[in-house]
Amino acid sequence: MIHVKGLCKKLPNGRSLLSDISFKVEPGEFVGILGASGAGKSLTLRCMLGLVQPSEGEIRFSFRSSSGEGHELDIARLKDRQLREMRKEMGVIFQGGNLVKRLTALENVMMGRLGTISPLRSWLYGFTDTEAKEAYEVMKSLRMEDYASRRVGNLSGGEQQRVAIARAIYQKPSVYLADEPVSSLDPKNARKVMELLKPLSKDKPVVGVFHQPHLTAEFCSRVIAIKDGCIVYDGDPKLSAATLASIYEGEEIEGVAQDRPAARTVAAPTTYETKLRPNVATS
Amino acid sequence: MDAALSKKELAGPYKRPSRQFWERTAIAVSCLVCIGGLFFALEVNPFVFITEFDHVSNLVKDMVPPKLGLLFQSKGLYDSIGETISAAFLGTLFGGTLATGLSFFAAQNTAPSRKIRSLMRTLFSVERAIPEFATLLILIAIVGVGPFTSTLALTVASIGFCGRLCADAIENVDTKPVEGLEVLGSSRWQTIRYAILPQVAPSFVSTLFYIFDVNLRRAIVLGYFGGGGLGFELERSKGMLQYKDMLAYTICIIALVLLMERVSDFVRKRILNVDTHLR
Repeated sequence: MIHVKGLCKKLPNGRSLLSDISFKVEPGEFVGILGASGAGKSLTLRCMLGLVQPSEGEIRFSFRSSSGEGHELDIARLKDRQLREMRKEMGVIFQGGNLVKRLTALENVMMGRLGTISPLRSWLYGFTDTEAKEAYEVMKSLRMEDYASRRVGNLSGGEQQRVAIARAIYQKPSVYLADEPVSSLDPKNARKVMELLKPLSKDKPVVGVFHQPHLTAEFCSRVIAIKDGCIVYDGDPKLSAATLASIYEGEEIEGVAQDRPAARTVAAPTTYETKLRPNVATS
Repeated sequence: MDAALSKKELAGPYKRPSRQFWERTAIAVSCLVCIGGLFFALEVNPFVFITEFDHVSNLVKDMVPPKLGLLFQSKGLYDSIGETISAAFLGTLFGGTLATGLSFFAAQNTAPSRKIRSLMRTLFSVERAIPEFATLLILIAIVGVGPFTSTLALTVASIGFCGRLCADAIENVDTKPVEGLEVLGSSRWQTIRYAILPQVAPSFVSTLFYIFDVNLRRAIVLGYFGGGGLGFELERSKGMLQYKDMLAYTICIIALVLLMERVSDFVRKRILNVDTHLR
């Protein structure tokens, strides 16, 4: 479970990027964070990863480690070693994967558990056969065994994104965090990736930053919308067109009226519905 | 560049600045004066080839035909070719191994601390500033004349250059995979092993082969100063005024350098092009 309390982030010059962000994510939830570009959604996620130190507020992360004991940590206050310990429990899926392009897909998946391997072993020996087997099983369960031995640089964007998800699953984390996992993908691959993310939320919390309201409406169990560093909406994933319009304020909404140059402003509710339906039908 | 362009666009239609012509003329004239002055100062006289032509023709007469018979009669020639190649190879191997290891301490993103990084960088540049034959002459005083000395000198000479190139390669690495591993809890050495090493490996290999090419040439020069191998043979035949032998050795050197360049290029491509179909 992740509990974000009063998260603030200010720049040295006093400009506030995030103000009083608070929410709680329980296991079984698939939370989509929406917002216009620059609203602070990725920043919120980076704070949750411990990549950015917030100015104020705390991020309570409670999980049960593999040995069965419960932990509760404040991510915003962790230092090097503790941060590393905590990160073992976080499965992260980045936009574009952040994979090592010159290694094979299987190797990239196996890297998911680097945190539990001693550095000496990773230099002198590498991964064990059982690890390779387990990683392969994970890839198989996602129906990706065909390109396990191919270099990640060879794979398409959608395939890379799925390798990244396989890596997160293989890591066996207590929470999944995804930073724009479908932004660089075409609609078909985006759906595929969303279909992989959804079942993860069965027993673990999943938090993702998205740009596509039509996908969050379909797959997420809850949507949080951020605008200018504040939470403006928290609740049912099926947002009304008026709310969407106020969130995105003049920005083009992906999946709503993409290929219409005229639809610069947010489309009317009817357009939203009609544009959404063909997408559903093709899948 | 872009900013300048947009400024110009803002200013309106392009106007040729009138100053430019005189500036260019002044630069051209001063360059010519400098070159002429250098000729005068160094007593460079291009006409010496014409006035002293009989010297040149005598030398050519002494040299031609080159005594290529050496290729078939003397075993010593092949020994010295072997000496040169192995000095270059071992020098690259030892120096390169050391340098690639040290380069991780000289790169900003992998160095344990800023102090160590600047220390390593300084070491590399000081190292590069020492001419390889100076190292050789010092080493000759310690270990004596021979190919072993030139191997040691080349080892020392490779470190600075190779280390610098490798450290630069490490600094230019894509940071996304590094971040990707950090957020799943890997330690620094693991990040280096799995995110940085795979990315820099190809440029390390290219660098090592390049250093080998350079070292082969250096090995010949070092031979001349007492490092054994082809350079030493060249020096000896020059000393005994055997110009026909000298030309034969020179031809051997050219052939060797060209051949090794081809060979190392082939091997390098073989190593790197395991995945050419990707690019």
